[in-house]
Amino acid sequence: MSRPGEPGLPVPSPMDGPSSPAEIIDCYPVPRVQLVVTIQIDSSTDRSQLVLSTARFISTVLVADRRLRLVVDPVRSRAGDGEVVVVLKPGFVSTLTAERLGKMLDVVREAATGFKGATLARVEVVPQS
Amino acid sequence: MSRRLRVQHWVACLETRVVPPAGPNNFYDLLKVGYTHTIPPDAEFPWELRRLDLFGRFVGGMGSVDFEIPVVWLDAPNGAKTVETFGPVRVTFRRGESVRDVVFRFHNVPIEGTGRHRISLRAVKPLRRQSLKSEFLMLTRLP
Repeated sequence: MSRPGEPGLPVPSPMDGPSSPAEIIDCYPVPRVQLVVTIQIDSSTDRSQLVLSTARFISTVLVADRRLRLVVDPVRSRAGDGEVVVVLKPGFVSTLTAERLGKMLDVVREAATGFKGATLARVEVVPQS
Repeated sequence: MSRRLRVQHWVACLETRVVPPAGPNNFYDLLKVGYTHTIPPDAEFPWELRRLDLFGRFVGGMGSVDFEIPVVWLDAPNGAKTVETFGPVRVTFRRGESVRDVVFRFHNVPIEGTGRHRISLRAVKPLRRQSLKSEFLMLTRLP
């Protein structure tokens, strides 16, 4: 059993006052969030150009904050009626994840300005479904 | 002595009791402390550990500190996997209180498979997460 005073262990100093009452703290899971990017595709866009722009856009977003370890959720991402919804899930689950994803909003908007043939319709951080 | 926050004990158990009467120097009874825990033979994954308590003894704490507690399945088929992260949990240290005992209680901890699990205590800081201490559990299925 470890004791205060053993080599390598922190040594408590004499207390100035009584210690706090016994405390049991209930802990809850960190809410899981994801980044949802909605892109409107211009119908007149050349498809090959669109594929290239999409690859550049996604690549830029994925590497913007490597610590988030973002991956495209293939199940919840979808396309139809000229609209593409890309759902990006973070592999990094922490109390800081929502804040870091929030900072990604500007990154996505900036990346979308170079997206030829499409327009960013919406980007938001939402709870994982 | 350094005033850096340290964790002297970080011990998992299935049940904790506070020895009454309520006061400033209560003892904790830590019950069912052990490394290996069993899962019923007919349990399907993901299974939930109904309750898990982690007893922490802090030394050198100052002000308020936010913690998070990731539960990592070390023996997951594709490598270590974080199955859940709990938090943020704020502990406020009183002035002149050099040692502080706290029990963190978790309900319905998800278990995705058998094997080793690591439960770490991390201080949440804006630029980095400082891991302070880890506890390990082995989950096995009853034959």
